[in-house]
Amino acid sequence: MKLLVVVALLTAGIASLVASVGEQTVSAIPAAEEIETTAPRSSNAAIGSQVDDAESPTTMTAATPSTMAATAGHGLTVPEAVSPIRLRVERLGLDLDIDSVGVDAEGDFDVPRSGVGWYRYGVSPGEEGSAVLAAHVDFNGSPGAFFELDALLGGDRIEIDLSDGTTSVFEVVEQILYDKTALPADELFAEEGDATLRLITCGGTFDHAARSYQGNRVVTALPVLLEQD
Amino acid sequence: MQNKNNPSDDVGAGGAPPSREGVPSSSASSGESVPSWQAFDVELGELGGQRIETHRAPASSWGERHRRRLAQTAAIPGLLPVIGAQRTNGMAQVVQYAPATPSLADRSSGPTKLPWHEATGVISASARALHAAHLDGLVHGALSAEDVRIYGDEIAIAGAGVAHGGKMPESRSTVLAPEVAAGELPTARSDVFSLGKLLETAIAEEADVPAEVKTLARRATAQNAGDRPVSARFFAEGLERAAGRRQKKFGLADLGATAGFQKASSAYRPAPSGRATAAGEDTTPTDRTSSRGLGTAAGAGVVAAGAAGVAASKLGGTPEVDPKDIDLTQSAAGSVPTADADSSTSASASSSTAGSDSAAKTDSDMAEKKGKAVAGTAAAGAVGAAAVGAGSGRVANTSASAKPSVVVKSNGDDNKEDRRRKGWLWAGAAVLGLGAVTWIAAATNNDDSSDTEAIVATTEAIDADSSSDEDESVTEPDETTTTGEVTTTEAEAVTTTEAEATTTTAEATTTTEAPTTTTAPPPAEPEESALLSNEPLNGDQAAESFEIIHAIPGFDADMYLDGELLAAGLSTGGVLSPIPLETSGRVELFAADVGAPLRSADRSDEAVLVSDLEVGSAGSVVAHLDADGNPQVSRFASTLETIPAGQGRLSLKHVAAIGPVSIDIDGNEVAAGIVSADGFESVVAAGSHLVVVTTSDGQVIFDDTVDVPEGELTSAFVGGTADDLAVTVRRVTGLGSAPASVPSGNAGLASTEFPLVPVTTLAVALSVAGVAMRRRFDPSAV
Repeated sequence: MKLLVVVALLTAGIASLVASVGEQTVSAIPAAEEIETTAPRSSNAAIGSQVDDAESPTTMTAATPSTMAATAGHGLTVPEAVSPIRLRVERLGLDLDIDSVGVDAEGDFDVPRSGVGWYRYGVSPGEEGSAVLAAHVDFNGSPGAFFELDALLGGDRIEIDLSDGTTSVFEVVEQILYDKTALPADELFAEEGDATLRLITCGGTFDHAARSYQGNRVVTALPVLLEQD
Repeated sequence: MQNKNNPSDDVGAGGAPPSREGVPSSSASSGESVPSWQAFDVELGELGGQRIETHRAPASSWGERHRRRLAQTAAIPGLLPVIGAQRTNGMAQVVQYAPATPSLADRSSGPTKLPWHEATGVISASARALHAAHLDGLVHGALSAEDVRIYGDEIAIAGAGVAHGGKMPESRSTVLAPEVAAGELPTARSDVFSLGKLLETAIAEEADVPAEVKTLARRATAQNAGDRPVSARFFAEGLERAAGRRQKKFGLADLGATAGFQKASSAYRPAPSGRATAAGEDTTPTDRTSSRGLGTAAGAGVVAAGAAGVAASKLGGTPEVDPKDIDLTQSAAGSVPTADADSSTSASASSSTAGSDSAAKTDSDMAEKKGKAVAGTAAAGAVGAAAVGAGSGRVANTSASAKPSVVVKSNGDDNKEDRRRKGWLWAGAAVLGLGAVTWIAAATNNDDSSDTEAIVATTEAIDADSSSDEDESVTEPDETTTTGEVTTTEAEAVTTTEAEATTTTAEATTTTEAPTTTTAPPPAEPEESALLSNEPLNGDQAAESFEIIHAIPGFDADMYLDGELLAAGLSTGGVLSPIPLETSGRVELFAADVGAPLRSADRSDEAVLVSDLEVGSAGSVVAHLDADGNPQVSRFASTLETIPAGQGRLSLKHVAAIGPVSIDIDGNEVAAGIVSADGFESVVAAGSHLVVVTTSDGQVIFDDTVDVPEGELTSAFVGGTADDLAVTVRRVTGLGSAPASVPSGNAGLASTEFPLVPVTTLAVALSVAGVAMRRRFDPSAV
């Protein structure tokens, strides 16, 4: 009888230990900047073309008058840009609207209390540059939209509906946990370079006193070419 | 243009031009190549032992000034120097010194094809050469790849200045600028179009061509001349920068300074203009300015033969075709439009009076006088010998004249001269055959009249042969016939062919007097909207350049920098950008003129504004009216500092002809007393803002929403007058920052900290298990 109890306790203990270890795919976060958790299914080959040119279309190195355009100036108003309006992630069972957000009073990403926000001062998913969606991992005691973001594996599909009626599909390539102090913001919010999609939330060790996480979890996904469009 | 030697060339009346009436087909509109069946011609020759080219084009308004300009080309590197230029019989004729060398057309395909970065180097150098011509008032008008001659590492352009005068010479691969195809005079921008077409061809299907080069090619070939780079120099500079270091640099061959050019020019004698007068002024029996030189020569030969009678061998070498005269006087060879069927016979008749032998009468006279059979035979035999003699190439000037002669050298089988000689040979053979026939006929008392006819017909046949277009499919007899009928038929056939041909060319001439297309080219859409890209610069680009804004109300402006045209037809509010920071010099603003000359010194009107620009900082140079309404230039620096996330920079500049103003943003006054050339600037939340500008009298001159995009500098230049406001908005992108952080979690549910609870559970379990085990194995518990 006692043996049974002991074994049960042992199993429970080992099980919970294993479970907790399984959740945390990295060891405790050192002061080091990042720990990579690249998804095992390396799927670069499966990902559709990353066709954007490295060249900026407007490279003008000290252009001469011959290449300048005599124009009438830019407009008082700028045209409305395409924006993402819906997010679907099958792996996580996500299907929800995307809010267009900016920065809050402190100049931080204005993550919506619930749901997902797209940084409207950046680029739209599919455009040249890095489009950023962010959501809470948890907020005020409840899980946020990106609570299970860390479960994404390489090759998982992310679908985004755009305001122009089209849908863009992306495929996860990597997941990185950064220390918040070492978040490569310039790269994550770049407006030039290959079209990329980033899903950002908090992660890592939670500082109870500060009521905030020490890290940012960033999932990077690249566009996939669809046969039909 | 040497490409006439191209076997696939479909030129000449025999080559079925698109329209027998001489009207260009509708495909001869903007941008399409037109076959070379029209009046323009290039003939190769030699002068003083040097290779020359004679370019011919219709010249309706060619004047003395233009001839002088052409003479100046000897001093312009990069152009084939002109030895002589004259206008005769409505044709412009320009002789250029042209040492043999491959052209860009030759190097555009096959094993000697130039790689694109070398081809663009050739094109860039060509643009510079043409620019020098433009500055001297010469336009090419029909530039093709065949005109660009490559001399090692240098280039020279053939045919510059020939097109001036309004009518377009055309060669096989010329693609006319749309306005030129529509009948307008060519301008510098038409040549820019042609350069653009050369560039297009050079980079077509080439890998690794920078995007800017493709953009430049598109801009240069814009259908609307106003959309193209304003001068060949700017095209060249743009191409050199866009192609980068890889582009091979080509120089401009200064052929005017060579000994070869000197030799050729000293050997040149201009032909007298107008029709031939009595050729007795020299011993050369030929009519030098006649367009039927060879026909005349044949006639003279006949006369000489007739007069001499039996002295056939002596006359065999006489017909002196002075080839120089033939070359420069638009001889019968070639597609001379004014040749017509009557000319040869009339020429022979007229030259009969000009013959060196006064005893020479008409051939028919001779036949009558001396008895038709014998005389006819002798004449025919003599003519035949003369023809054969000429045909065998013994073209020597036995004239007593001391004039230097020019020998027309053959330049391959298809050379006109060879065909002429072949014509001679066949004509001679035919005549000999005819001579035999008439002898036999005479002996058997055949019909005299038919002999005479035969002789006359033969003479016509000779004339026809010799004066036919090189590319006409002359009905060459396969055999020397022995029947008068056949000969007659052949003569008829040849005559008919020639008549047809000359009719065609005559009509062709007529048509080229009129605009070359009957329908205006359809307006074409630019390929992409990016052709006139108005994309804002990013911060780095803006830091390396400045812009010029025309904010003076009431007129479109032509802007000159250091005396050269920078932009034409800039409307109020228009912007020139980007301009390299190191640019400095004198800026002159004129009221826009449709035919703005490339040099401000050539303008007849007064500059509206003159200002000396110094090397400066990034920003905007604005030409505007000050508060008193006087034109002035103000320079504004751009603030390109990084902008915090979520914000944009708004800059408002007062460049209007009004007094101090106050500025409200979103209902709040942010500035007052802003005078002309002053402004207000602030970082504001990204988004739309209502901006109101009020004068000190309370008059609202601007009241509108302005978008201030995040991370960008938005500058609004408020110019003009109170009644005629012109606001120019300029933006610079890429000045923003990323958000400071992404705070996205505060509940700790997903924490990945040390798993305290599970470990504790396990520890407790292990301890309990350990205790239980000990008890189990405790011997005392047994």
